[in-house]
Amino acid sequence: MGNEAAFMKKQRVIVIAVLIIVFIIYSIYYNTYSPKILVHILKSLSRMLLGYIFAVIFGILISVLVGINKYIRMACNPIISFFMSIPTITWVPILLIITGITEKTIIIAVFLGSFFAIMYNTLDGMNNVDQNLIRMGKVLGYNNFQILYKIVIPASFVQILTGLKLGIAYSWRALVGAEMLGATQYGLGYLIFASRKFYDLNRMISTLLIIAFFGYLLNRLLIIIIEENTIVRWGLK
Amino acid sequence: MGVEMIIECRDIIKKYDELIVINKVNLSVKKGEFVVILGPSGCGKSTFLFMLAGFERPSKGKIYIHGKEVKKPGRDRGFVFQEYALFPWRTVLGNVMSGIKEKKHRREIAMEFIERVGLTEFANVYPHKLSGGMKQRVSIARALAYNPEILLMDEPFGALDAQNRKLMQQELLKVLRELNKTIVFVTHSVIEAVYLADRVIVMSKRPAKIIYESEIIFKGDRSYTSGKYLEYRKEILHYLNYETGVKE
Repeated sequence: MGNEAAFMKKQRVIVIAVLIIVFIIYSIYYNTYSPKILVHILKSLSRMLLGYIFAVIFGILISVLVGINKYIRMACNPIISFFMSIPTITWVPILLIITGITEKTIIIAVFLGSFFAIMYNTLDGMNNVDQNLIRMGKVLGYNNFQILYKIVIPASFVQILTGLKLGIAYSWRALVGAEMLGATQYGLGYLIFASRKFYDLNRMISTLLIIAFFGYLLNRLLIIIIEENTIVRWGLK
Repeated sequence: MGVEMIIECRDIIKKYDELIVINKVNLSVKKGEFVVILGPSGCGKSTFLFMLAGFERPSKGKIYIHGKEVKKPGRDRGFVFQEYALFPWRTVLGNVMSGIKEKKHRREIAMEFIERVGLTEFANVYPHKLSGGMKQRVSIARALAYNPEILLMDEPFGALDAQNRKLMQQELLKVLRELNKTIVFVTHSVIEAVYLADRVIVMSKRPAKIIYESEIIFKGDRSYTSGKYLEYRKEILHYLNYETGVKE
């Protein structure tokens, strides 16, 4: 067990190290003639985080509100599944008409990218809580509200985290897609799409690597830290 | 009135659609009594215990505790599940504290019960690090810590190996004698039943009804080898085997 964990950690370090080296050599080299790359990165990251954080807050909050009643919770599942099967990128042209060529459009696209995945997984977790844990809560005299936040939510944490993880991946895709579809003059998605006009393959590939690198980093930084302090410590993973 | 009855079940019938699981069970339990319900697997004895706990309602008949009808779970009854049902996100201490209402002395009360079950060193450990026997001790400590009058136990040692099982039986008896709880304990082990019980009740296969009942009286200490023990065991096995179809 210990060995395995150490091996995983070592592997993680190696993967990150290799990525950083590739990242530095390739992307910085081909992008140094344009210091604007930093602006693009910051712009993309800030949009992503803003949309994602809204999705996390609303996704979990609405799930919990809906989740108070078992039947409403179960009725929500097919509705969420339905909306989840819409590729986020298809929202963008619609949003461009409704909200115009603004920051809002991209942030809403990011939000939509992860919101349904977070909600779907949170509800799924809440539906699959061990009945005996809930019975135990009733024996201990918990009211419905206490059963919700003392038992149902922590017991669904594995799935909530799955939702958060998927959410990051989906949001990142949605972000790049929305930036490509011309809602902005900045961002990594814009950069890759704009470079196409100049046949600047080097910059396109280096930008692609930057996109991959930050997507990976976001997942590691945000999720691994939460995971290690919750479900790993509780022995659920 | 002679002895005070804490639990009274009158003509309990439990049906799932057309399937009758429990058929007219009457049972009264005295204060401080240790009642063990034996029966073949799947006979509905756990369902019966779930009704005592208030997780399920009888289809017909009524269950009274201190003369009040049982309608839902309550803090007058502690429950111990076979699969422990510990909260994995709380430490041993956190689990045992989870039922205690007195805010001021929660920690001390919990620590006292953790000590009773011999897990003081493990107070700050998360349950997944513990063995099955240790988990069940935590579960028992949690059920006792908020001082319910009645303790309901659903095959609590069913998932343990034979040695751990005997150890737990002995320790359980010791702890419970000190606390003088009223206990209803479900098992399919005759060995366990005779060792622990003041009274053994044997249920038939589905639909369950009571087919045999016996007070277990020992002079002096209980042991797994005394003549009296073996006598009780033989008699009860006779009834149980008849139900399960096992040849003697």
